Amino acid sequence: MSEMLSATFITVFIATVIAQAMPLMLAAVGETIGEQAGILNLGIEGVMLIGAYTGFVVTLMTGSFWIGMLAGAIGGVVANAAMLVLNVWLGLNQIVIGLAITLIGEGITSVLYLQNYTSSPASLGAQPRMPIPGLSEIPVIGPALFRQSGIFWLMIVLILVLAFALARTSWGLSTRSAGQKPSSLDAAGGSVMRTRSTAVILSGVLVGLGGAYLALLTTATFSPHLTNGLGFIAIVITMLSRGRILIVMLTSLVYGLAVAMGPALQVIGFTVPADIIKMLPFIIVIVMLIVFARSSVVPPALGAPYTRGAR
Amino acid sequence: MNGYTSGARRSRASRVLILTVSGALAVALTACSSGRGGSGDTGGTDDSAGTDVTQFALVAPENESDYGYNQAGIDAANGAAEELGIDVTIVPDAGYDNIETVLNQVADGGAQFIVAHASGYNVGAAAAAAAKNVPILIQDAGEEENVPDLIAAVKPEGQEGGYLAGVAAAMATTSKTVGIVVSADNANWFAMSSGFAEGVYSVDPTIQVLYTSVGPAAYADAAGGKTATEQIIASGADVVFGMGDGATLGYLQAIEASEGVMYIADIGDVTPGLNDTSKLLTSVRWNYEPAYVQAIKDIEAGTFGESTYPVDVENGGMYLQETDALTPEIMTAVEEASTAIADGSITPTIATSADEVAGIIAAKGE
Repeated sequence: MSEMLSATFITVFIATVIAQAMPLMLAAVGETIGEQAGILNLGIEGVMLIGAYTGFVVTLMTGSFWIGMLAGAIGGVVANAAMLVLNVWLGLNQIVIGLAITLIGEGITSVLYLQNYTSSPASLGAQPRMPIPGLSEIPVIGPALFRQSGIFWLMIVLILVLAFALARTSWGLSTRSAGQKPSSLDAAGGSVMRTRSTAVILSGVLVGLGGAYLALLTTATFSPHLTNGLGFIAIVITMLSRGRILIVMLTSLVYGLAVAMGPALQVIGFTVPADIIKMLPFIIVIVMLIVFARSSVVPPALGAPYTRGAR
Repeated sequence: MNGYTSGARRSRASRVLILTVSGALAVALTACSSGRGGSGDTGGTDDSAGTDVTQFALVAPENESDYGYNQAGIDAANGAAEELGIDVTIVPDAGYDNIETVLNQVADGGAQFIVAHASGYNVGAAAAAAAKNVPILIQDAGEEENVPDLIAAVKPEGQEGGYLAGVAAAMATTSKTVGIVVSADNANWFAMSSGFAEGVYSVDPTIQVLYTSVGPAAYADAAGGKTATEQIIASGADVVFGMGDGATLGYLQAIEASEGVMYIADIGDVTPGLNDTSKLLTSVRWNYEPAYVQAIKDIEAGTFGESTYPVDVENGGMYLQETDALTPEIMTAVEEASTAIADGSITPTIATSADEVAGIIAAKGE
């Protein structure tokens, strides 16, 4: 067993943790912004798939992972437009719309993939790396952490900027007000509709990026139902993180660790039933849910209607 | 209803928009749900014994893009139809839910013989065969499952193909470490894994064989497949034997991103999925066509369901795909092993669980 724990193995293990955590992190941050504004989007599984498929197709067409990620973000916004129009603007039920988006996302991406790539499946290959001089030379950790792609670093910066903006800026205050007490935001001269609309669009960008990251960087290909329930895990993580994006980042890394542990345990010699391997990430999420459920606080106006003047 | 409006009443325009969107969704859903099966009233065959088969069907859980099991079944069905000059209807992506209904619909569509191309279909297939009186070929079942004129099983001898792949892997590895990645707890893959390990040890018992599973039924988990393959490569394996249906897409990404690593595929031809085809050492090909052709002939002769149809080395149903990476020395060793398997002097072990595979790997050929 010990001979299996080589530097290369540990490096790949750490890189796997990050690769598995990033799509979840982006999706959960997107969901966090939406929930903080009062929008519970149960459709992020479908939005992720649409972002993933869009990013995959555009990367194949252009050969650019950057353009592919941009397309994934646009795909996410388009998918979330259903939530924007039907819920924020027209006031239909968020849960029903969310489930519909999930089903449509799963269906449409599967149909399009099977229609276009069944006979000649395509792969994207490895994305270009952007090693950080000096740090990437550190044994074991360096290649895993500091030899990532430029897209990885941009996503990290984006998440940190949003964490700051949500907690410290007037935009963040408006967003949180729309979820905490929209009537106060309205009374203060803010627009609940505009605030929620912005949050849904931004949420679509991030969830779409999460899907695109999964297809382009984590898997380097697309297959039907690629997300495998990742969107629903993102919703749980969002609920547990109470709007704190740094906690979203940490819990996403825990999920990545759980995913990476399954094959790693087998390779180093543990005979682990395949059922346990596949369940491990979900078991950890359920344990987190049980442990932290009492402290889980969702915005009071989450999923609730806001009608000006209504009591 | 929830949402932000400037008054309690919703405008007429909003209602019209909602009705329009709802109507469009309903039309779209109706269109999506009407893709499979038919409304024909052709019914099944009244009596399969001695019936001339002019049309048959294959129902598969996924499609041919898996480079594996589904691809092999679909290719074989098309090949059998061409060989016999009859029509075939391929129903890919049928999944595993409500398979009895799908098979009934296929029978109603006029199929005089159906290949139910997944062992998970066996229960539904038996029910559909009885309900529609249509002969159905099921997968991986024993002789006891055969029912004259209605049900017969096709049985791949995966351990034999795995053994040949093991011989090739042992002769190709330079790191003296080879890996096995499977995406599910599947009887065929356990058998192929045990055969592979024994084939490796028959060449060199000092070679290390690593084994990892993506999940109990992660057939189409490309992301999980990539992760598992990356880790097995990081552990030193320079030849990876992958079994995975749709998860194969993930295996191939990991293989292509690694230098000096060769891949052994299973069942189908993965060449179209590789940007660098020199990465492919070989593939354990399964050829169902002889089995399908024989089954159709047996239906016409009225003897269907009296025996199981093997897919093995002896009848050419299981063999290694030729590639440039298979050197003459490897080919010679593989041919010798094939001959020994065909004449019964080598009988690879059939593992039926991951624990049994682990035991065979730990035994190192002793």
